[in-house]
Amino acid sequence: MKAGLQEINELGGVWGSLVLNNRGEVIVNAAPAGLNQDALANLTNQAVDLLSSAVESLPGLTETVIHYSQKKLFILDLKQVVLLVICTPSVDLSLLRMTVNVVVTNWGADPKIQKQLKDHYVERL
Amino acid sequence: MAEVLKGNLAQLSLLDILRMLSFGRRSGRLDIRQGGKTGEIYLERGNIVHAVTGTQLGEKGVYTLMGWLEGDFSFTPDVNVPDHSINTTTEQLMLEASRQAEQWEDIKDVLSSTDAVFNISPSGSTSTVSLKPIEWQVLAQVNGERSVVEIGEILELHEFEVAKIIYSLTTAGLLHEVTGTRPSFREIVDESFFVQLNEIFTEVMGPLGPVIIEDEIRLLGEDRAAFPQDRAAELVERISLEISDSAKRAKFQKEMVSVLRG
Repeated sequence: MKAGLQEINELGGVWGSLVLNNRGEVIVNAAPAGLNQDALANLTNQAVDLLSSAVESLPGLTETVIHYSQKKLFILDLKQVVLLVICTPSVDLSLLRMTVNVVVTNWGADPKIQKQLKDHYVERL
Repeated sequence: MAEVLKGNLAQLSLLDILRMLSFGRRSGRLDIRQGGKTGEIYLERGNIVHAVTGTQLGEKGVYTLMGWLEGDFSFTPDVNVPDHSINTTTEQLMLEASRQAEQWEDIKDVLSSTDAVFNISPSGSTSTVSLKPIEWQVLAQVNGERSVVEIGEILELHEFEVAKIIYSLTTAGLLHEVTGTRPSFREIVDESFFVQLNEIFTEVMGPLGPVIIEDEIRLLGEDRAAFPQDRAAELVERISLEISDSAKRAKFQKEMVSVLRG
């Protein structure tokens, strides 16, 4: 999975990406090493909380983008896990969505990754 | 006071945000900013109780804000409500807003934003068109310079009403959005991009490929000869959604992402 995240990270305006379980715990981390761990935990919990409330209000929603003044968070619900991409405000969201779709489609076709995702599944709180 | 939710209306519509806040029984103020314009919507335990934007208050204010297709929003919890200008129940308000939002979805196909400028189409309609007085008044204000918002201000009409009329006049072939109102210094895509796009998309969709591409360029309100580089990925993404087979769509996206990234 890390190779997929690195592919996403190569896109202009992407700062880092992570795969989280449904409770916001990090499964695979391709975020910059210098990132403060408390800030990261805060960010991942916030991402999963926002996604959960959005999905609860809008069944069928799979993607949320949160715009902050200094960054954008792209949050994708993969059901078993959550993909979080941390971007700069200038990221091209169309290009990001397509790149993510290519990566996620590859994951779907890879039995090893599917098993890994299944093993990390936890129910949302 | 901490802002708990911030974002952009291009990604999360105002209706979706209000649904979320209402469902979560939140109290506070939702600030919305679009260019130099601002609006505020106040909630008390999930109920929308007050709204204001410019001179518009209450329900009218909510519906006007609902028409803002772009802009930033932020929600500040637990703010005192300065007034109670809304008498309609939140349920009824959301229902009407939802109906308008559905119409906005159609309108967005021909109207890139409420700052868009339209002009009379030189070719006109191919069939007889009858206009209501209000449609004629809007048509009379269209001059290739005034935006939808400005026409609304002149006629003292709600932006949504003007947008709806402009939508119907455009689909009837009487109007077209003026391209080139965007800054002219935008980088333009190379023709080789379209050659590759045509080739890769036609491989998936067959002979209809180029037709779909032309349609999407038109729906974006752009011109192939001067297509802006910063909308190339958006065009490719929209085109890719025409591919129903998800594996084929991902393959197309992969090839085009590689083209876009050079």
